[in-house]
Amino acid sequence: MRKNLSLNLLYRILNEGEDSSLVEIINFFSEEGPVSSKVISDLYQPFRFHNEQNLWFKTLEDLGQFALEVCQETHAAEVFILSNVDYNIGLDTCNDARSFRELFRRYGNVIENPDQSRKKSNLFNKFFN
Amino acid sequence: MQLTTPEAKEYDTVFPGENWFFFWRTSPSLWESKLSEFQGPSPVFVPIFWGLHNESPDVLDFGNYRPETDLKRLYDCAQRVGREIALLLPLSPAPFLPNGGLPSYLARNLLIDNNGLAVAVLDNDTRLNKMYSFYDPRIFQAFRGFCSSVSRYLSENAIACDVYGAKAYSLQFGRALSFFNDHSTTFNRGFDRYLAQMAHDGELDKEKVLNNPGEIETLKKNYSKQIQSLYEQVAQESLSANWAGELSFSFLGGGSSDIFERTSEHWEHPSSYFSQLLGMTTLDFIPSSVLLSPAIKKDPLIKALGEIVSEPFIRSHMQNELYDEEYSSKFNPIVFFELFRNTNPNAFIKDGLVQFLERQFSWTFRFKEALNVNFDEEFGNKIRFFKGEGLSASDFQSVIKLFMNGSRIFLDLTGMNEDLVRRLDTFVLENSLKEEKINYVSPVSKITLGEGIIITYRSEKLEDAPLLKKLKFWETLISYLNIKHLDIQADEAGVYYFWHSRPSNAYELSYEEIRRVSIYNTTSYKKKAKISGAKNFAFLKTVDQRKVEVKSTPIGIEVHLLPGGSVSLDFGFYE
Repeated sequence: MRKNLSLNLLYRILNEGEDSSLVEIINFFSEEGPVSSKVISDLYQPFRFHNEQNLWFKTLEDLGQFALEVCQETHAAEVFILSNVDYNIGLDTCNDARSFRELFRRYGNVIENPDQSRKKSNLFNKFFN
Repeated sequence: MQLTTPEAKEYDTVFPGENWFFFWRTSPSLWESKLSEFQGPSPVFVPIFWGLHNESPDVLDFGNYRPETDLKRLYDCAQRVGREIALLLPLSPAPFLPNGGLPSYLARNLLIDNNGLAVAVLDNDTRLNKMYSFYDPRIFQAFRGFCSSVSRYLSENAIACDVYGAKAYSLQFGRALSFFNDHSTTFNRGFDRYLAQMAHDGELDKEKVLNNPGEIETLKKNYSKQIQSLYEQVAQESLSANWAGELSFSFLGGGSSDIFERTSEHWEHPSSYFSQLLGMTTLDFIPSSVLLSPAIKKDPLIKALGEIVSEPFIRSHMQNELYDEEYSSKFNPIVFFELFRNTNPNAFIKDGLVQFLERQFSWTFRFKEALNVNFDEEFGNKIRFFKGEGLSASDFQSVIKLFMNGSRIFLDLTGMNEDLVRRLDTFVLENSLKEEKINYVSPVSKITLGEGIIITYRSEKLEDAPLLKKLKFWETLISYLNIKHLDIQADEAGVYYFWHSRPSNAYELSYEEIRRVSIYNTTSYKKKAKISGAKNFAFLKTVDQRKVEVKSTPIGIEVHLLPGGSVSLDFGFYE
């Protein structure tokens, strides 16, 4: 995967009962394709609390932390995190491939990769300082 | 510098794939010339685009206000240029139409997939078609009215062409998924009403059902089937004068998760469409590439589409079509095996049969949902696999009848009704049939009567066995049947091949039939395939060789394929 790409993460919340819920990743990809299953599987280990194949998390904070770690590992610039509910709302406003590509940026929550933003600022420092 | 290629673009827009004609995408004044220049298979499929004719609730337009809605004019154009057309009335959300074909005033509740995502499909012009739930009662009511109007219009205008109900599917992870499949709140509201009605009629203990997730899933499937059949029934009854049956289409790139891949400019790869295309043939659908852009439909995909979704192939799916000699003398896909699944999508996977066939007899098997054999017609010498679980008494009778008519049958006794097992035993005893029994992974019994063979086994004994053992089991059992087929070693990822056959003609009397294998390299690398020579086969010729070198060796034929290369090889088969 090229560096500095944007990642998109789509999740949904599964209600397991009245008091408990799970966060499940539906899709995790960049414009070049799905995030490598090896990267996902390696970084998911600390969050694993079950024996199923699914990528489940106990909280949205855990999901965000995992997304950031994947971002750092793949040298992506940022990750846009979007729930299925917001995806569906956003999709209603899309009419073509171009507007669909903007969906995650417009409706998702962004987590920037601090490593990549630091590199960017260093580059600017080099030129302007 | 050339900025546009208008002619090519317009052709692809209007004829987006195979024999489909999207007439609303061009001016009616061009319909006649377009139809006369069309080179694809016949008949031309003309979708009935509900949303086009019914823009607002009170207005139905068949050429009264806008000429592009004039189906009579289209029909006359086709008549004048001698082109046969068949109208397709979508019986489910249609992925190739805006709003899935619905009028915009009815497009309210998005169709939701099993991940809770709204279903949208990219068409061949990068437009996003959103799908809407067909479980909305308002849609059904309006559909009923629309069908009556179409029927009246066809009859008043003496439009005598066939109308087929079109069911739309996609292929996801090797499984067919109907565009009727829905997890939206609209579906759930309808399902609740269905449960309430059943409880009211005393057919259901609601409390008991709600605590049983398995039971709920079964009821949801039944509800879904019932609603689908209502749409089918209304269409068939309203359009009975023109009704010719139903056709099931599977759309390449139409899966709800395909949207992520297809909207990216750097992701989409034609090889993924190859496995979808070939997978669709095993599921007995008519594959359609109308959603794919011309940029993705290059060689070898476009060549494979032309060779696989050919006129004889399409005609063989058209129920009321006389499948005459003209088509049976042309190349048709080879089908050695039919697997009857009794609506269980996992059948034949746990016991390793599908994996075996995929390895040894690639794409020469078909999954069938129901046993539908016309005993008045020749039913061929296919090898049929039946699951005992869920086999009805009448299906059992048909199995026995097939056997007595010389068919070769595999019958899985696991889960089969005890009464039917006893009936099979009695049948063997009463008719003093020859029966050989062995114990090999599973108890296996081979019953013979003339040409007819029934091999019984128990899949439960295979399920926990290692895959290699399962493969060996099937290899041994199928070797009893002495199937004559050429072995191809092309197991490198990205090389696909597909078999056709046709009867030999007057110049080929030394052979019983001609078998053709088409090999495609979908990768960006050089690839190789080997076909070992075998008794009963003689290599005849290479056909349509593109970026390929074919070498004859002492042990067979070697094919060297450059990236995107493809070739067909003809073999004469003799006994």
